[in-house]
Amino acid sequence: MSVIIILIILALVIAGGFLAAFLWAVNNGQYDDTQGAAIRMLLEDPEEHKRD
Amino acid sequence: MASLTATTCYHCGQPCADKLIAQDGHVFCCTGCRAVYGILAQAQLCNYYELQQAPGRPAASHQRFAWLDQPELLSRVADLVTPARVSLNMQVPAMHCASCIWVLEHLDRLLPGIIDSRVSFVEKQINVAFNPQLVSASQVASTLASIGYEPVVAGAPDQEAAAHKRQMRGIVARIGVTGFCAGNIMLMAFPEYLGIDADVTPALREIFAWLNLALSLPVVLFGASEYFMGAVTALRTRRMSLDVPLALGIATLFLRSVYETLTQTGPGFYDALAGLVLFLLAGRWVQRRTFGSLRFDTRLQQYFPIAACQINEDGAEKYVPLDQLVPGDRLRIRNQELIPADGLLQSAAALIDYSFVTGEAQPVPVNQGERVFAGGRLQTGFAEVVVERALDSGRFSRLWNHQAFRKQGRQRFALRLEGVFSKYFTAFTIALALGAGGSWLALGQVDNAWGAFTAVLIVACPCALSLAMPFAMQAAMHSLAQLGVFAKNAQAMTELAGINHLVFDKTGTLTHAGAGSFSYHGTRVSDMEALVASVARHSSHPLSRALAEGLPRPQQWAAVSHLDELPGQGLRAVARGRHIRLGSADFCGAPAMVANATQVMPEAAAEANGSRVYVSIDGLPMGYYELQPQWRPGLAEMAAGLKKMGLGISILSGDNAAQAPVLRELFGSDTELHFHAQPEEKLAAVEALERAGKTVAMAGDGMNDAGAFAAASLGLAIKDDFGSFSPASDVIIEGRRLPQLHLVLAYARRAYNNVAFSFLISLVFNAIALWFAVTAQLSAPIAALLMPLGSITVVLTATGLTWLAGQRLVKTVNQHAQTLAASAPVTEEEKPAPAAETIQ
Repeated sequence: MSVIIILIILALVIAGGFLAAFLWAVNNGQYDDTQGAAIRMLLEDPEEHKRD
Repeated sequence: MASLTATTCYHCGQPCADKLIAQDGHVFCCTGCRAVYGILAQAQLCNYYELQQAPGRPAASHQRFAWLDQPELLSRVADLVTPARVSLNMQVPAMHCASCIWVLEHLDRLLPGIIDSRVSFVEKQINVAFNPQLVSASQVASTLASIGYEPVVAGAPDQEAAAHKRQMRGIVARIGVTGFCAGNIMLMAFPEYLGIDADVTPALREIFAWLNLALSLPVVLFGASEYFMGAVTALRTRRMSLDVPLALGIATLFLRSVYETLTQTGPGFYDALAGLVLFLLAGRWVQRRTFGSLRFDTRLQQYFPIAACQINEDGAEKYVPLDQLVPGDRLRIRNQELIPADGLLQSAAALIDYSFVTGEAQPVPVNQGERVFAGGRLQTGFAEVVVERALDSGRFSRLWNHQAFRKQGRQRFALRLEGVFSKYFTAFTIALALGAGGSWLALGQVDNAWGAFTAVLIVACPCALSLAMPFAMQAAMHSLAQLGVFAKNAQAMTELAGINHLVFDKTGTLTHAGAGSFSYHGTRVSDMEALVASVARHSSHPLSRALAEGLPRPQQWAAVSHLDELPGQGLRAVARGRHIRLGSADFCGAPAMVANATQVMPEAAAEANGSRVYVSIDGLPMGYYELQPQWRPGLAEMAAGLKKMGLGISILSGDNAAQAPVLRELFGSDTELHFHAQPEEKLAAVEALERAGKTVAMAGDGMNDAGAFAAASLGLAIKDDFGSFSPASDVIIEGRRLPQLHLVLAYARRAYNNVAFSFLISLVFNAIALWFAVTAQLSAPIAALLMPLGSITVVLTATGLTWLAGQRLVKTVNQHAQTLAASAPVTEEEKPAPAAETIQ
């Protein structure tokens, strides 16, 4: 049962890695504009027309 | 001929009045909109129209961005300048929908040379990266302008926005860390929740407790750091703030939990602690975002009701709003006017008073070709200035809000309520927490004591006070700005509600500044009209403006020098070698003339109910211009409305008493009238009223009665064309809005009442929540949830009610204005029209 300690520590380390990634994303400005991203993902490129 | 159906423009959605411009099967209201459509169609960007109906804005006039091509200036505004790539941030206020994002991020199709463009929708900013060898910065900006997205390039990095961004990022990071810790703490607290028997592995309980303690450290040290620092600041400056009870609550939970872990007397409250901090941070983030966007909108849409007189190439003059000035514009500045932008002096040497900007009372002589700075007041004559750098809204707002114009003295109406409340609220909260905790302890219930203590500290929220007032007032200012009423700041807006006496100036305030007919009595000299017009146009006094506008434009303007304006007396200058004086009878040496006139032309004396501007050339009085005042419509109704609100009215005029009967008819016989009032007398009258305990608003020009303006509690500048600006004014009102003044003041009172009402709601909310907290029925995390919910509700209620009332006011005022216009007597300009029709 004491293996649970090792599992918890391991889980915390892995989760900590994700937390670090999150903090990097915040610093990189990815959370500054929460509305633009929501709109941008729904925009489509129109089909390319044949140009003369 | 196309039928006049209600067609709307495909691009901007405005109704196409009489012109229908068609292309590709679509209809446009003007060539501007059609041009934008053409540009987009050519670049295969018509998806713009698919994403949203009529996404465009009506085309604005073309602006020049040539200054962006100067390397020193460009390097100051761009964030990256290399030979192959320049990265430039621009503000695009016109961005408002999905279509906007789409077209702005596909700029490379529009203008080859643009490498990339990225939009930040919330901040309404675009970052454009382009190749400087293929395309220039001014081309990029012009392209944006040509498709309807007029860019604003900031002169200096926006400190406020950068600080706001850093703050928001800090909160998001803290939420992430606190959430991470809270989730894991709660996982480890599971055995406690589920009541699992510790006998199986007794060491586990201890290990989990220590792990929880370790996880709570980032929460307390990083997540809650803002609250602790805020509390320390508050204690150091001896000013109570909300952070103090919150920091106390967090510290209590933490210390108690550590104590329990160390002495192994219990599992501690780590989950409650982490949950508490998480909800507090989340609440603060939502608050800042909501309030940040409210503030943001007001800042960008701030109407600057100031216009500068721009001279274009052929010498014609036009008033251009301050925020549309660009480097290279030529401006005419009149005597006593403020210089609206940094630039170079083109005309002869001038004397400039920079006391508004630097505080120095000594005017500074500036020679031709030297630099002049925005905010300086022209002391002598007139000037022509070429704009070098336009005044951005932030700088202008700072000028208007300068320390020099803060009214000292009496405790302002607005602050009284706020000050009393906030000072005592936090102290009361702490006292209540201690009392509740102590009572439970006395009853022997330790757990409840802790619970009550922390819950009281956390849930009590005086936010309504510091937040509801400014936000509701900003909503009010926004609505009023749509009507042409501009308040300097939220405080000025609040003061409007506390007015109980109005003092009106007559000329230019109750009468139109420019319009009205005039006649000349006296001897005429050959080029007298040209001389008078040339001199008068350099003054900002309403009578001078009336003369300058009414007299025919001379073949050639006379060169004017040695211009000097004496308040209360008149204007003197040298033109074409002759000394010209315009002004009062005494100033022009014409008292004898007055007596003569009455004898020689008795009928003229009988009709002497206008304002008189005497003229003297080289010391000899020539005659006078009699200007018939044109009263603004609807004054009687306005006066009645004001009286019904309980406002006292006085009228001060520097003119003669000829208009007394008219004024008495409009304002009632019980209104105080003063005539022949020199500026000192106006000041004395206002001071007397203030000393008598009244809160006075002075409605006037702001320029010629500046002293009285400053002495009054509130200065209302009534402007017809915004050419001149007095920073000592608290509220600027468009002249056409004066007849609806009573509606505006009633609205100001309603806005204030909304705020007071929101205080009441906040009190009720606090009372209920505190009841639950004191009786130990409120857990810390729930308290943390309720607190921001309460404050947001209160603030949004106050702001929402005020904004709704504001929109209703806009409708009412517009209707009122329409009925006034419909019932107005036919003016001079309308007469030619019927004649034209009969010819056809």
